[in-house]
Amino acid sequence: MKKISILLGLLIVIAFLAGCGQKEIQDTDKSATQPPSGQETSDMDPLIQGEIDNSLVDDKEIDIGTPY
Amino acid sequence: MKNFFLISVMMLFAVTFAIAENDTGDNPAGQAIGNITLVQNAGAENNNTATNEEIQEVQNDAIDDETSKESEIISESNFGAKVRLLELRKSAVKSRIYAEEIIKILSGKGQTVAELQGITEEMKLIETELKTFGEGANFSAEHFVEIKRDLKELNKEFRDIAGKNLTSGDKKKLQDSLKNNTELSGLQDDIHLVLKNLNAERVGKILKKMNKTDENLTEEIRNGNVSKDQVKNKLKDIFGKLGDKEKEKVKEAVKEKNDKRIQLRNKIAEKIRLENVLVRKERYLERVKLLKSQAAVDRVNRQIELLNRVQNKLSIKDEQLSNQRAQLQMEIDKSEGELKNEDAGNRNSPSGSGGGKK
Repeated sequence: MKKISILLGLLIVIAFLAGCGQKEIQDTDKSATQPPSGQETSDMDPLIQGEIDNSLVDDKEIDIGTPY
Repeated sequence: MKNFFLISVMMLFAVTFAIAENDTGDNPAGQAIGNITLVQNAGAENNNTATNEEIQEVQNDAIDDETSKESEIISESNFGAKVRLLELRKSAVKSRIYAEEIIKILSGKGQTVAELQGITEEMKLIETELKTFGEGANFSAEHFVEIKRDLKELNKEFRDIAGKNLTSGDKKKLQDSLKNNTELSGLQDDIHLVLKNLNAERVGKILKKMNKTDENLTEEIRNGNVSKDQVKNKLKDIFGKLGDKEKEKVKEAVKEKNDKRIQLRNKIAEKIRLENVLVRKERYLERVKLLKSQAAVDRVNRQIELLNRVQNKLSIKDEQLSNQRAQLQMEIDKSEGELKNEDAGNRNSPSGSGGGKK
């Protein structure tokens, strides 16, 4: 009985760790395909929406700080 | 049988725990760079080895997320490389103008500026280095990351020395020093021109995924006659009119390209982290040969000394890295080739906007 309790406890811990890992992977995947925040959303597929919204590149100030 | 199962589960738990422990980066026995683990030299600390703080300082500034994203379009096309090259040049020129102005102000107050002159000399050498990339054909994401880091560091050192001696009136004068600067306005014009070509090229790629072409639209973008919103709406219209099967194909193509792009970005970041210490040292060794100011030579020599100590501590050997660098470079070249080739037909068509990077 005691062994079974230990076994169950360990399985719960492993399942928890596996769940955490899976969630992290899912979050990474989501951030890769989501359109940037603040942009309009519609009933269009988010992947295509993101692709179109990001299609045009704006002038970007490369931030290297200033000497003062 | 029960005992065997129990032991198996416990072993699995121990392995999981060990992996989690290793991921925290607190492992005192080794430092992970890319896929390899560099075992720290055993034995007492001495002057030839860096402290853990120094190692962290060198490794942590290898590449950040923002820089990684910025460098993404460099691998995408020649226009992407050129636009980032010009933007970085613009930032470098701005910093150098500020630095020269600050030196004038502080000299006028009778302060010593030798060290600041040395830093400015280094800034100028980096500007020259950026100019050697010309049209951007050989400008890589790795160049962008390393040069950006270098400029940031020089600005910080300059700021640490000069910042406290400047009044708010001086700072106002500095902002005025950029006004009507022809070098900056020339660079800005170049950036706008390349951006138009880059955007026409990117829209051409999206249209190609939808199996469409619209030479008028790409031409209008190239000429700057159409707004960003107009382009987006046009693309959405075109996509909306596609059939379900076609939409599904477009989604698959977009997903595939995004996956490749993320993989490429990760590989480039991994290579940069892997060779960070060696590449930086090589650049400093080249620079120190060109510097005239003793203050700048001393500064760069201090950096070289630090990198030597980090290298000693991490036992980084050229030969140890060479195979991995070569392997990663092969993978990067392959991924870049795939990303560029996917619209090769578009670039060769009359509506195409130029060749890929050489």
